[in-house]
Amino acid sequence: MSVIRGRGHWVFPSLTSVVVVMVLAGCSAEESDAIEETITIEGKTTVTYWHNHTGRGLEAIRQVVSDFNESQDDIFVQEIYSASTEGDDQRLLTAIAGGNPPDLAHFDRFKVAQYAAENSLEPLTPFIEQDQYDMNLYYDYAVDETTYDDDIYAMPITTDSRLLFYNKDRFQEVGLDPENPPTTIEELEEAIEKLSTIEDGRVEELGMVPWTAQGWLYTWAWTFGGDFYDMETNTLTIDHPKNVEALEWLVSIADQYDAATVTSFDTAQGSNEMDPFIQGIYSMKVDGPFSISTIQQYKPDLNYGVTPIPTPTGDDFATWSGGTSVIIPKGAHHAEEAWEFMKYFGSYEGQMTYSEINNQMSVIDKVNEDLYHDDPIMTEFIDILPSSNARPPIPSGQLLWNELDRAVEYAIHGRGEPQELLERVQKRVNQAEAEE
Amino acid sequence: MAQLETNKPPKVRVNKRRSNENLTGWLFAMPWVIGLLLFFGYPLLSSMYYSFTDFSILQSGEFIGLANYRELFQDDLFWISIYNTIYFAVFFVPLSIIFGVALAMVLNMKVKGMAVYRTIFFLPTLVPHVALAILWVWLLNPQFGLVNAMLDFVGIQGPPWLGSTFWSKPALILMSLWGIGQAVIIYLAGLSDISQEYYEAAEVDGATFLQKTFKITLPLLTPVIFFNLVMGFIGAFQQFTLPYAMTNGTGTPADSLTFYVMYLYDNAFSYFRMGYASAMAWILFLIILVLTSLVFWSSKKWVHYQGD
Repeated sequence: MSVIRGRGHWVFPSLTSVVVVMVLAGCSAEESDAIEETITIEGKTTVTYWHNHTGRGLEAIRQVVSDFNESQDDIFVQEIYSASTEGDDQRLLTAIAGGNPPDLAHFDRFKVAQYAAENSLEPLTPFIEQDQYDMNLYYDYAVDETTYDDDIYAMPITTDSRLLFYNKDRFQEVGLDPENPPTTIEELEEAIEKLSTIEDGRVEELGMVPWTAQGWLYTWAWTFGGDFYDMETNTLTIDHPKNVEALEWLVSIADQYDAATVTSFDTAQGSNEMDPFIQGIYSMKVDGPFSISTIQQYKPDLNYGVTPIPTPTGDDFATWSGGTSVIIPKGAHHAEEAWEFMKYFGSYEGQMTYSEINNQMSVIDKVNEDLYHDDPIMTEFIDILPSSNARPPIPSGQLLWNELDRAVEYAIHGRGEPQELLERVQKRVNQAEAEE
Repeated sequence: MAQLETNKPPKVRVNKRRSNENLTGWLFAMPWVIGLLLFFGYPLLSSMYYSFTDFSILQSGEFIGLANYRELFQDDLFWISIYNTIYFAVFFVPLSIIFGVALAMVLNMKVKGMAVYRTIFFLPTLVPHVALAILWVWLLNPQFGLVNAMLDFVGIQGPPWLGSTFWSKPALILMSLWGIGQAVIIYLAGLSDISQEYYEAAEVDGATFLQKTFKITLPLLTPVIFFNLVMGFIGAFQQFTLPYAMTNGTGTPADSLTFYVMYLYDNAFSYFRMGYASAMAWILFLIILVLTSLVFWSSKKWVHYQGD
């Protein structure tokens, strides 16, 4: 105390400087913690590009960026890692809200409409018209998913699809033909029954749990011939009779095998080596090409095949695709230059580089053919793409996703009838859309 | 008394030195006060304002009065999340107190190597919640999980835990109890605070172990129990990380693990309904305020301070 009292006149200035130093330290610490510093190169415009790639993905993105930079005299693209989770990209969200976004960002295509509706993305249509850029290069559904209110808001980059994975050795064991996997729902049901062993009420092996892995209602409803959205009239058709039929089928499987028991096997999700298909507990599953590398990593000798998801009729096979894209956030300082990079990333050359290194499916048919023509599994995933579906490009896409997931859960756990549950989703999402 | 009231309070002579000291004190506190006002007070008041708007983060809000609150009361999921949260709090808080106190009493015994035992029970609280969630998802897996394997050993067929809408919440309560080490530390401090004289006197009177426990230890531990009760309720109502990490944010199966703050988070960051989420936050604040007030009010009847 005496020290302070004795030097009272020092206290105020020194405290002020302490506060100033703390504030400054706070700022700089935050900057270095938040994001890499922007590189400036004389005579070039720096375009900042946020992405969440690590490992092979990072390698792929770095290659694309450096190829582009080498070809440029005026533009320098700087790739910056910015962590984001599957569902929420809070850093980008706050950067846009705060008016200081990057010039480019890697983005789940599924969320384009939601951000576009919030007026947070730069429309690409003016650039496309000015350069007469040909969007027909890409799969139709991929472009549909980037379109909101007649404007295009994103450059599609990757895609995927869903197929039935089946364990050929298990097929052989129970007397099913491994070269002739089921094509109709009826055959699928028979296979499930044959491939399941339940002893004294304890499940040892299951043919399949249709709602796990990528067995969303989207997957089954399109397989059953249903649909969710009419692009022409912009109306939702969630309670489409075929969608209801698909959900009723899921419920029938849940009733037969006790939903709680079979679902509990799947709760260790996220831990790849625990995947019940890899463990041999499930003999079949619906999944995407992204699960191939998991199998290669944890059980490379698994003898499996992929085939279109069985349909009620045994033909008109269907699937759906998601994927990523690149966007220009509203408020970006160098939109023009960002578009130049987008064009390169979306070109045959850019797509070849990226897809090959990252082992991804391209949004350009020709790239996929050139890359994967001698890979029998990937060929199956690619062959179905031209007729694939995309989720409805509506501002409430995330709400719709969550509500459909909820409807399936409620239905299989006996908390409501399929028809009524889907009507409720339709009502809730329509209400949210009306508020937009 | 009347005389006292008419007396003016003694005049405080504010000399220069003392006012300087005051100023110094305030200046030292200033960074904290400014921080509080700026980073706590301002967001707090903003969130109250936003709860009356249709605010999306990305676009400034439009004032809509009580519409958010009205909508909340008609929102099924709001009620489901409240039910789940109360269910969790009602079972978890008392259980954590019973187990916490019992464990603290055991760990308070004079046995060799006690420091090791105490460490063992405290260690789980150091595990990050996300890691804890993943660990328990494995432990509770009915096919290859340790919990059901142990139940099997004693001839019980374990439930499907996280697959069943009935068992998912008990499973969560079970795994949350894993982290009571923090409370145990506080109980241990409380126990060591109880004067040995009481026990010596009781022993002279020939009191049994149970009598000592219920007549001395527990009553004198009530201030600590009271503290943990309040903190426990606040924590339980803000349950988020464990169920969020376990279910990838979906609250599966069939919303049986959708907790209040998870639904709040969804509205704020997945649906961009920050105004709606703010309204939820204020309702949560009121619920916790009322509950803790009730606990405080009732505490006069059951909390005993040493020397009272």
